Amino acid sequence: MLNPLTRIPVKLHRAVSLIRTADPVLAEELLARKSLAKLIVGRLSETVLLVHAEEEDAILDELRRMGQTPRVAR
Amino acid sequence: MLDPSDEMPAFSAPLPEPPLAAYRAALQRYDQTRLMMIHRLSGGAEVSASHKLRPDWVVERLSEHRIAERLLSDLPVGSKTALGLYALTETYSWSAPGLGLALTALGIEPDAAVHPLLERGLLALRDAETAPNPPAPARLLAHPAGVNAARTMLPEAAGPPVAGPVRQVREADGLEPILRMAAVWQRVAESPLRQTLQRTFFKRDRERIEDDPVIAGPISDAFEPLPDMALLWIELARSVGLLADEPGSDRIVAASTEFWAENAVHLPQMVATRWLGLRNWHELGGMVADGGATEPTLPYLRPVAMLWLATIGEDDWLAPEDFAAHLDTLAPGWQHPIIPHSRQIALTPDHASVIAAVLLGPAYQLGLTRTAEEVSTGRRVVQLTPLGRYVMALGPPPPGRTTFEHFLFVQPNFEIIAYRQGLTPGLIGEFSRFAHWTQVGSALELKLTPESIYQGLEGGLTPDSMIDRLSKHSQRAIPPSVADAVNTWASRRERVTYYASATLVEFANEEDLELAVSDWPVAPGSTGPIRISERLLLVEDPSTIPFHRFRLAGQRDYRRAAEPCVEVELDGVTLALDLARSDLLVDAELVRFAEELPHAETRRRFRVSAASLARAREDAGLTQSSLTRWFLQRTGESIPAAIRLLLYAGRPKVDPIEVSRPMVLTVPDEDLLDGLLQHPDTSPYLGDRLGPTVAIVRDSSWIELQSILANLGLKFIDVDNPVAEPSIAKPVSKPKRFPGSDSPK
Repeated sequence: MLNPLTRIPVKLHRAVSLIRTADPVLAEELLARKSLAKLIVGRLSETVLLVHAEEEDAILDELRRMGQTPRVAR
Repeated sequence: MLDPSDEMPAFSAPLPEPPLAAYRAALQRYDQTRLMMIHRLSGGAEVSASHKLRPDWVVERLSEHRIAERLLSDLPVGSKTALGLYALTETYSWSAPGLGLALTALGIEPDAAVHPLLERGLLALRDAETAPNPPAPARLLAHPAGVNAARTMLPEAAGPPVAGPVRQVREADGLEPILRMAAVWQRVAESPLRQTLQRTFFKRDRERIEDDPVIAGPISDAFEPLPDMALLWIELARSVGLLADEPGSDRIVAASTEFWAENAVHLPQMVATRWLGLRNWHELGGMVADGGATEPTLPYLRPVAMLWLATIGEDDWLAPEDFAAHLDTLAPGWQHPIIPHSRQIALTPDHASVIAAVLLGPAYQLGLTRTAEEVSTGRRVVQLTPLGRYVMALGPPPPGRTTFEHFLFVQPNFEIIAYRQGLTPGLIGEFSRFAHWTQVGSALELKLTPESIYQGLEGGLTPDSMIDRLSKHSQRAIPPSVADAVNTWASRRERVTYYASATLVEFANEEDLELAVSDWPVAPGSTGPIRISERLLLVEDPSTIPFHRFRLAGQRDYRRAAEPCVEVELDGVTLALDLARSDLLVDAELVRFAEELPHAETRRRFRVSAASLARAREDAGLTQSSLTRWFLQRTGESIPAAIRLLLYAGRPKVDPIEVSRPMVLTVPDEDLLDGLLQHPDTSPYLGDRLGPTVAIVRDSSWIELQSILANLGLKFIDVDNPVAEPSIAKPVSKPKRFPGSDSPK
């Protein structure tokens, strides 16, 4: 167990662009859509997908085309 | 992507230069004599003739409010009126012809009014530019401190005659511009407007707004049409900050929803002031491109018309015909559409229509004027409203509108009927946040849609707060189906979240992450960190990260270009990650074409194999060129030979590699091998020379070579069969030359 006073080593990732889904099945659905999958760089967890910031418009358009209504957090 | 040919000219104002910077730039072109005069007349300390006066000194000195006020107090009324025009319109740059016309129409001699301002530096002259041909007119730029010190001055000359008794007084509610700008705000929030390099709107965007009846449809309570109405609302919305130029892009975007909370109450005054100073829109001609040699006249006459209207008593009325005749005597040719102009041009005889376009056009819609019918003549007459006097800084704030609380009908089909008598600018802003304006007329119509609800949620509203607002102003209970739909749409939105610029905190292990989460401070009403994996926390607001609890082992900003953070090991197929410099992208990139090796204590390593490359080709469309770019970006080097080999092997068509088992001939000295390679009997049987004393014997030729060596009297030992004695083979006939064999040296 760490000493609570010890500073915890962390690495900070700033200005990361992500898609987070409510459940893993939805993430699978997004990955299964070819036009969207090619805009996704990787999967960080079952519900979090890593994307490139410059693809924002294309990703949001594609999500909306899929009938999703993404909340955009800036 | 739009084709550039898709664009057509549309109005869009150039980005304004900050007033003080423009004034300073104009002063920097002044010579020392003029600067010295300004310095002296503005009460500056004595400066010797040999001393060089810097323009900045003049600028800074005049920036003191008390100095600007003192200078202004000593000036003649004409000069005060001139600077008062700047203050009234909240503008800092007037063209010289424009200001001249305005002053003349107010009964003031322009030169006598402007010169004292120039001499004291309250105005700076920016000479006519010669670059555009024909050149743009000279401009008079005001020091902002002078404008702040100036007050509205009513003309002192005799005014136009007032009208007789009136009937049928009509006054607009002043909400039309606010409603239409709210609709513009909604449309731009859904999809920003894009501009070309020439700062015109793309045709598609312009048409989208112009074809929208809520924005550009005719106004029901109107006496004068407003040309280019959609572009007028856009321009006014930009000028008050409801729309804004997105920094670093070609887009015009909607302001945040906070705009409504902060400005809605004052919006009518803000819009009215911006209209008074709007230069590139003409009440009769609509939007005009700026920057040319001529300018539309009416923008400079707008404040003049309002000032003359303010000179009559609060209960008096003015007929546009009388007003036009009055201007005819003061400034003949005032009604010409452009300045400067030739007096030879024939003008429309209906001067009153020009005045009516101003006072019964935007001024009426903005609630600055009201109108009536003169009893004796049937002429339409106008007077200022309390809001009009307030905007002219000539009266107290107008009383608030008398409204009634329950002015909405929310229907089960999600349509909302609103009676405008209940609306205020503040309520327009509140409803614009989550209900889509679909009709603007005597009755208004809004609609709740999934998109409008998402817009409301984006703006910080909750489903309950939206339903509460509707309930508060609805005449009947909200239909349950509407409340259900709002909640359903809101919950659907939570299913996918796109983080445009999130912060992730990566921990070395799960234990560290748990420890950090356990005492992470979470402010009331805010969300704490979101656990997205065993080692990663997602933080929406980086200012909430308790940095005092952490030691930064590395950080990466994803707005910057990717850095090399991968090292290729000696075998050429093992890639080691530099954990201090690596990012999340490289992890995702690596697993596409390599497999992670069992975790080591210090470094994470990945192995590239034929199978991993095949998978990458199949699943991710990996190509050699994309991999080349990746290696250059992430390792700083080209693809290692070992991986190039794997890529070669993975090609659909691969040329076969030749394989053979060579027999090696070793001779005691170099001379002997030279001889064997040169001699015509032996050279056909020998292949490549591997060294000074070593050469390859072609496999199929050994039997023949044995005989030839024997004929030459050379002994040999077969090292694969060391027990055999050195032997001399039987002589055989001379073979044909081996096809393709090297010539003896």
